Amino acid sequence: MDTREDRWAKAMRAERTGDSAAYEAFLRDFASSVRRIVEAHLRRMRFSLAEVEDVVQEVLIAVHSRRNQWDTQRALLPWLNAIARYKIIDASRRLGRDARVRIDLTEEEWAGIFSSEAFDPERNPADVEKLISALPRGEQAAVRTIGLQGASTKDAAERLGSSEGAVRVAFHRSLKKLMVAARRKGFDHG
Amino acid sequence: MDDTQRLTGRTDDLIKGLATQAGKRSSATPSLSIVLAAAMVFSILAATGVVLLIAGARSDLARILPTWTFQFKVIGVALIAAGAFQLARTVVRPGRALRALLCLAPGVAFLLAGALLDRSGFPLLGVHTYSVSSCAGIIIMASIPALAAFLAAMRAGTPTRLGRAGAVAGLLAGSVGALAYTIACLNDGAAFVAIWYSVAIAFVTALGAATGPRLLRW
Repeated sequence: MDTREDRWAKAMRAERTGDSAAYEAFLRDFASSVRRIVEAHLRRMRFSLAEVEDVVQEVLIAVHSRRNQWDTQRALLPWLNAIARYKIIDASRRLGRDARVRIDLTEEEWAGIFSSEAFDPERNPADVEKLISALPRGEQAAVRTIGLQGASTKDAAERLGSSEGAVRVAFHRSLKKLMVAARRKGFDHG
Repeated sequence: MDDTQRLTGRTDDLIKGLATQAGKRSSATPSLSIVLAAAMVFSILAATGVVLLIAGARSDLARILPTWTFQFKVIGVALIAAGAFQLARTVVRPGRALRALLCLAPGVAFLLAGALLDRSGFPLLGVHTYSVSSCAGIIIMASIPALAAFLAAMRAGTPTRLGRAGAVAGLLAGSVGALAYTIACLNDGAAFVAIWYSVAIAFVTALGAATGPRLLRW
């Protein structure tokens, strides 16, 4: 009686008879293993770890609100896994969408990004340089030429001996990474 | 680090709150099986209504009821519907293995055998030039209320793969639509039925798969 399935299933059955303590212990145990999974997942997806607890709570609420639908005659872990998987995927879609909304700017906005209030290279040139130097070499060149020297993608492509499309992709990709990195360092006011 | 502790603290509060609700049923919701069965009854009635409204029953219905050609259609489509109903009961419960082929095998095998053994010489494109389009069109129209009903019923459950669940709702709705259409269908060739009914059902299945992720979200 000491596998996770047995322990958790026992607690979920105890919940039905009103055993708050057993249910609370289960939720705590379950939450910490969900937290580990969510952390690993968000890290792999390169999302900010600030969302971890929100996602964990969504999973807990989903399980709680549907706990009566679990058939006590059947294994609990597959049931929990399927719900957790669904909520984690749902949350990462939402995070992906948020990230796109935050990051999908026009060409001008991209160009103006370094002169905005929230992210000012004049004020923090050293920090910006540190962020940029963490990028892959190709993206560093793109961001320096377009973002800092103000070249057009066409000029930048010529200077870097690359195609315009490739430069644009490198530039956007690097800005996305910079914004994530900057937010992590607290550059963002939001 | 402080931030993380504050956040996990918030989860801790949530857990304490949830734990106080132990033993309390969220609400007196009817069982999932009953909801699905009710959707099935509604779907059959609605699909029959649509077929009668658009096409009307064929005039010689009483005469053909006992014939094999009619029974072939009904049995084949009913077997698919039964398999799809079983699948629907599965996809609204998290973590159940989906033995799709197994559930649908009897219906598929039956229709396939009928089509292959069809010696009626009935034209594959039906008795009229519009046979295919009207057959598929009416089945699809008869399936729409059923699709809505099954998707709504599934929301009472916990689908965790929404595209798949939507497809199952579509498959079920399509086969109910086809079942209703048998009372109007003038095309008595087994091969015709096996091909064009399947095409219509596949269309509704695709419709369900496409709308599921949006409509079944929870």
